[in-house]
Amino acid sequence: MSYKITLPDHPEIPPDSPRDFLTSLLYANIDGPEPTRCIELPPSRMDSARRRSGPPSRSANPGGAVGIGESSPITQALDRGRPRAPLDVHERHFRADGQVDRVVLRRYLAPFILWPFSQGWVRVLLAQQSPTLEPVAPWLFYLFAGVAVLGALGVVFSQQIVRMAVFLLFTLGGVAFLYFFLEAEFLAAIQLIVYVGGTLILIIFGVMLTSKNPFVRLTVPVGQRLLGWGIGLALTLMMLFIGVLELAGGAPGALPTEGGGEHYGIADLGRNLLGKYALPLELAGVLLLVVMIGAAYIAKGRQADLAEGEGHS
Amino acid sequence: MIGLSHFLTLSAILFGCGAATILTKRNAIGILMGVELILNAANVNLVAFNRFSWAGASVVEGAAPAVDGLMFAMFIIVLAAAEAAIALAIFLNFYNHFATIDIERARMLSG
Repeated sequence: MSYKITLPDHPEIPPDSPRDFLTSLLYANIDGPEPTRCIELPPSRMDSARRRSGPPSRSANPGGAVGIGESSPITQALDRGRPRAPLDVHERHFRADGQVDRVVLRRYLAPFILWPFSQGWVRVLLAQQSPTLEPVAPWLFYLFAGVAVLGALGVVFSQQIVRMAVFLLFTLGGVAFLYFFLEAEFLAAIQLIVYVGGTLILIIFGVMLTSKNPFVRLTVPVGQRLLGWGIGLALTLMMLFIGVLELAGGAPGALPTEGGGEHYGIADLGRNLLGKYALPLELAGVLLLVVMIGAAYIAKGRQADLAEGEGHS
Repeated sequence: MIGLSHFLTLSAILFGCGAATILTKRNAIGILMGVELILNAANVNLVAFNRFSWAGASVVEGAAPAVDGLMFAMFIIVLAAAEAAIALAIFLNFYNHFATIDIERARMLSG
């Protein structure tokens, strides 16, 4: 099958409008009718747009920051032979019938949309290409670790199950952001998608399904509560002293604060999943199938029991 | 400088909170939340060790980067989701039988 790329000859479109490869693909016809290449604006907005002083100043360098508007050799060859006339800046970007060229949107809106991603701190936050943790400000770690710890404490000390779910949301979100600092961006995404988007929603549904009043309080006696908190605190302190400090040899800073080695990519994760961890991956798939069937079966319950329960109630 | 000990400390705190949650809640779903906290603490530990375990060791030229900790963490996330689904199914069944989610009432689950 052959794709014939035809560029419709619109006299309204300025002949010197830049076309990158994607733009030419957008305008490509596959032996079909011409695609619409304009976005309608109501006439009133069109007039106001015409009265505007001019396009944003970023348009002066359309191909500078984001690489939009650079013409490829193909489009240059396609553009060759067209009449090139100097056009007014309004005439260049607004058609006579009140329609705005899509190129205008691509050239003027895309820089504003893509601008945050060109900033250094966002790239550091997303942990792209950062071999060490040094670019990450410590206060960012403390911020998200504080969110996670406060959420966990809220889970412990809250007595209402719905509030516990909300606090758990904060903890999971904070831990997901900490994964960014650990250069585990994929795991952070998985954490947000599976935990926050899946497991937590499941838990909230469980809360709603298992209580007539979602703010019901099921409290334990104060003595048992204090005992539980004490055991939790003791476990934390035990892990801190035995784990962290013994691992550090009693000296703060003995644990590594900097990792070497090259940064892995998503491809390494995929190779490991399909190579070294192929069997666990398959087992996880089988487990998920079994869990899906089993959860549906268990949650449904036996029909006799359900009928009996309805008869009692 | 943020190092491994920071993440281990955070993980220890999360684990302690999860254990205390398990011990002090009577709501079965609250206990499930405590389990999720503990699993998250384990995940933080695994990812942090994976991140910092390259330090000092001479990386073999051409060898693929080690992502074993991330693999473990991913499987733990999968298992946590499966465990939550099964646990909630059991809790729903329990709620159908006893009309409550209080685990103090779960002393005669077998019959």
